[in-house]
Amino acid sequence: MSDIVVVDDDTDIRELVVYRLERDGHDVRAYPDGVAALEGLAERPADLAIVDVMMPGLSGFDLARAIRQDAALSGTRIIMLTARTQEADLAQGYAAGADDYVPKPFSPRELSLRVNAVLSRQ
Amino acid sequence: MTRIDASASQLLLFIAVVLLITFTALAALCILALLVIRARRRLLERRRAAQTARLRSDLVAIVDGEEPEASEAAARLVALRGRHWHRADELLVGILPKVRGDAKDRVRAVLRSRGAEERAVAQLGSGRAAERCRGAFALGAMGAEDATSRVIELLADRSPLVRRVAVRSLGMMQDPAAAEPLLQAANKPEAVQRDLVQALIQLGAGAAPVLRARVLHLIAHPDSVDRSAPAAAEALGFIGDVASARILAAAVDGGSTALQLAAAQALGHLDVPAGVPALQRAITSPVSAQLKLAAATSLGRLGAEAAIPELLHAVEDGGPSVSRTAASALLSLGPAGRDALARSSAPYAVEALAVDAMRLAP
Repeated sequence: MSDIVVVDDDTDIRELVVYRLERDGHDVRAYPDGVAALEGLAERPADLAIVDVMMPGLSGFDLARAIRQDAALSGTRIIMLTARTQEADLAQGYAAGADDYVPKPFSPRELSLRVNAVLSRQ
Repeated sequence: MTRIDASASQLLLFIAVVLLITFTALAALCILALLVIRARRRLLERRRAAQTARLRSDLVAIVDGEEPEASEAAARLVALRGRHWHRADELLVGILPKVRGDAKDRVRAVLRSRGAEERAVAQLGSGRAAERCRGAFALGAMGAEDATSRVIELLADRSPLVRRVAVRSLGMMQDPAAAEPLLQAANKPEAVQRDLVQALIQLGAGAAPVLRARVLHLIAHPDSVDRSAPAAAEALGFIGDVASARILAAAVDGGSTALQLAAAQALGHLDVPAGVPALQRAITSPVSAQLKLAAATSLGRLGAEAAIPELLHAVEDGGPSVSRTAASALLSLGPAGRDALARSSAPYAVEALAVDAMRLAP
């Protein structure tokens, strides 16, 4: 079981991701924006953050960079969940510290597989 | 006289007291009414929130639940009536564009079992623009292929909002038959090109022949005013239609300015070298700085080492934007591009290498 943080301003997506990951046996916390997620991570780091890119305020890229710059969160892996899947967007995400991308619209089953793959990487 | 004054004073005092009591009572009644209204509203909101929470829980189970949980949730939603079903219908349609695969099929099945497609088609004939928008969006979200022609008709709707929703819905429906009507819509003065290009991209490879034909048409008639050809070229790049590389290269060489620009950008998204010579010519042509920028970016994206001399020339002789973009393209070519920059004493070459060294520094 892993500790996972889900950050998305879309309630539907948040609920679907939480539902799937909890069913997979993970401990999941959900936040509607990047600032709340950073506060949550500061209180308790997570193994994985699933982050939407386009959010009001702190974007997913900003949040990924903030996680990477925080030594206490060095073990947190990041999956970007986003509709922005052009080459330049992917490059920006990986440069910000993302470990993987899941495109929107998304398949909960595919997300589950990718989460397991990312968590199993050493 | 004094007695009359006293009576009048008493009467006035009496009237004042009556008025005061009346106003106080009215004020109290108003406050009470406000409190009742507020309490009722809170109660309704709480009920609505509780109902939405139950619906959302069923919705999530339908999208991703295991059996029999998913079937049970679907049966509960299908059995709803009146405004309860209306709310469920809104939630189901709203989630469709956010999921794909099995999840999407399950939601679509629930909507179809309640005749949501037929209802959406009926909404298209409504006199209210908002209803027509709802119908068009629902048909797009459900991917109702049978209704493509009905949504295409909305591209000529009297309401600009409905026309815009129709463009987006046709993209979601992914029926290549919508390519030609969407291209025609691009030439209308109020057309939102970004939405149109996005819809054309969503149509996918099936729309590519129509898009190629539109680009070829404008190459053959460069003086005609056609906003659809640049949109077609841009979409071809994002679709990744490799077969259009030579057509796009020809467009860079001989299209209208807007088409040249769109084609140069599109070539950068096609991972084939066929467009490199045209991009090399574009970056040295004096026509437009924007075209040079697009050509430099695409050459960098394509990893075109053959274009190192042209890119270096652009670094040394271009304006700030073109020079910086060309330098960035050279860096993206790897050691060969970096060596070329190192051989140059141009300020933008020195700048690019310095910035790159800072980026690579531990």
